[in-house]
Amino acid sequence: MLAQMFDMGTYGVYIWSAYGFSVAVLLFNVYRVIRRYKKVIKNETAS
Amino acid sequence: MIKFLKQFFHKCVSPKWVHGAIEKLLTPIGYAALLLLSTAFALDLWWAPTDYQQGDAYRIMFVHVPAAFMSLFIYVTLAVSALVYWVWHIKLANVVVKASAPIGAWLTLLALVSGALWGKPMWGTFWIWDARLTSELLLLFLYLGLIILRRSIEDPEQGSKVVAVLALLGAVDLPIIHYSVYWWNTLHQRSTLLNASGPTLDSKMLYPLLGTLLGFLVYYVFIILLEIRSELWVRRNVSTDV
Repeated sequence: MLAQMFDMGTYGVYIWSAYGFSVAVLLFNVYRVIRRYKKVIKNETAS
Repeated sequence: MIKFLKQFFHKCVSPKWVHGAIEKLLTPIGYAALLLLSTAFALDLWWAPTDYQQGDAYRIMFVHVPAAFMSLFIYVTLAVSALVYWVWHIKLANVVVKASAPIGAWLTLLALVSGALWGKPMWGTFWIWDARLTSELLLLFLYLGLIILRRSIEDPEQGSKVVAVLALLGAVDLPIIHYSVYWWNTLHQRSTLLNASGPTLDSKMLYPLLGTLLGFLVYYVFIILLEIRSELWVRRNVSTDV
């Protein structure tokens, strides 16, 4: 059943690549903005 | 209603008020985005039925369509903010322009990549130079152009004005993207959601799609609030009259 889920009727590679890339983009952007905020706060406390 | 809007925009001019509002909204909106997206993705992958023509490959639609919609929506937000900044010189509007460009670029890239991954099994090709795909690629270049242009101009004030002008000019691409499937013979299918006669999707596919779209929307709001918060701190460093 797990194999069926990942296979997605032979389209698994495309589907999981698309969803994987989506999750990566969404997470990366959250990481990017939080990292920037921490850098700004660090500069603020340093000055 | 007009009085309320006037008061709201008055408050938006005050960075202190905006910062306070953001601090209160950030956590609930972040959790809302996480809940919406994770639920929506689960429904997209396992609850929505298999399509009789495309099989399971159509499930890429649940990522591709919201990403494409957001790429246009974010640009509209960016262009309107650019206009507000250009005409009324409200600094917060410029912050929205600056913050929207990177996330808009990423979601446009997501739309193009997910579209390519859908196109390969369905059309037999990752890419084709048809009107919809080409105009969407142009949108990505516009977003990148806005980011690069702002960074390349030393004077931030001057840079903001030039970026605002480019953002407004680039808005011409938006109706081209939307109507390209009607104006030209394209491989890309016509709209299934924004139809005069209503959506042409079955409800079991429509609701997960709308859920994912809502998730992306809330996610964008979360990102923008985070970016505005950072920018307000930067401007506090740069100038005392913020």
